[in-house]
Amino acid sequence: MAERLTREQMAEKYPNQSIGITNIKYVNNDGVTIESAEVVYTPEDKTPEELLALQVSGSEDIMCWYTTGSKVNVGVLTLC
Amino acid sequence: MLKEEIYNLDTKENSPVIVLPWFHNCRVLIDTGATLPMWLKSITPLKLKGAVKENQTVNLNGVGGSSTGDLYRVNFEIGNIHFKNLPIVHKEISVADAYMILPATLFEGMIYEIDNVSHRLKIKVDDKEYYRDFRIKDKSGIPYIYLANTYETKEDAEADYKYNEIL
Repeated sequence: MAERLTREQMAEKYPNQSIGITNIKYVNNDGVTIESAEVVYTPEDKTPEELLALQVSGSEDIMCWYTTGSKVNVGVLTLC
Repeated sequence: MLKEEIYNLDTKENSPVIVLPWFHNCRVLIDTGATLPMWLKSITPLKLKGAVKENQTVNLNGVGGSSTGDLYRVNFEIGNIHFKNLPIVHKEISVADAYMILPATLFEGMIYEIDNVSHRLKIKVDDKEYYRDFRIKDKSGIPYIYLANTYETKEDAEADYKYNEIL
C-alpha cells in the first residue's frame, strides 16, 4: 500500500533520490508546490529514467520527484 | 495587444520553478543568468516529445566549471506561445529536481516578471508574436539563443521559408 508523506518527509526518508509519487496534494491547490503525496515507487523499484518515462507516458498518473532538489543551485552550476 | 500568461511558482523552492501541464507536469527552472534552454534529465522523455538530435555539441561554462552538452531541437510551448525547433542542450544532472532550465534569452521581446510576493511568473507577449523562431549562436565561446523572427499565426510562420529551415 502506498504511503502518504509530506514533501519534507520524502526528503528525509529518501534523501537525494528520485521516487514515484501520485495523488499529489498541492499547497493552496497551486498545482506546483507539493505538500504531500503517496509514494508508489521507491529507488529500489525503479530508476529515475523509468520514473520519468512513466510520468511522460501518463499511464499511471505518476510524477518523478527528486526529493531534495531545492538545495541545489542548478542554474548557477551550469550556466552563467 | 499584449496578452499575459501566468504560472504559479513553487513556494518551497529557493529559485523560480514552474510546472508545464502540457508536458505531464514537467518542472521548469527559470534561470535569469542562463543563455540556453537545457534539459537536465534522461533524454528519452524529450525524444517522446519529438526532440531531434543535431550533429553538434555545445560548450557550457559556469561557476561549476566547463562541460559540453548535446544539442537537440524540439517544438516547445508556454501556453499560447509557440517555439518551433527550439534549440535545447541536453546535460544530465541527477541531483536537479527541475527537468528543464528556461533562460533569460528565451524571453527576448517579452515582458516577464518573477513575482515573489504572490508567487507567480507573469509573461506578457504581443499576440501578434505568438509564434517565435529562435536560433543559436556562439559568441566568444559563450553560446546563446536569440530571437530571429516572430509571427502572428502558425500559417504566417510556415509561409516564411526562414521559419522552416533549421540552422
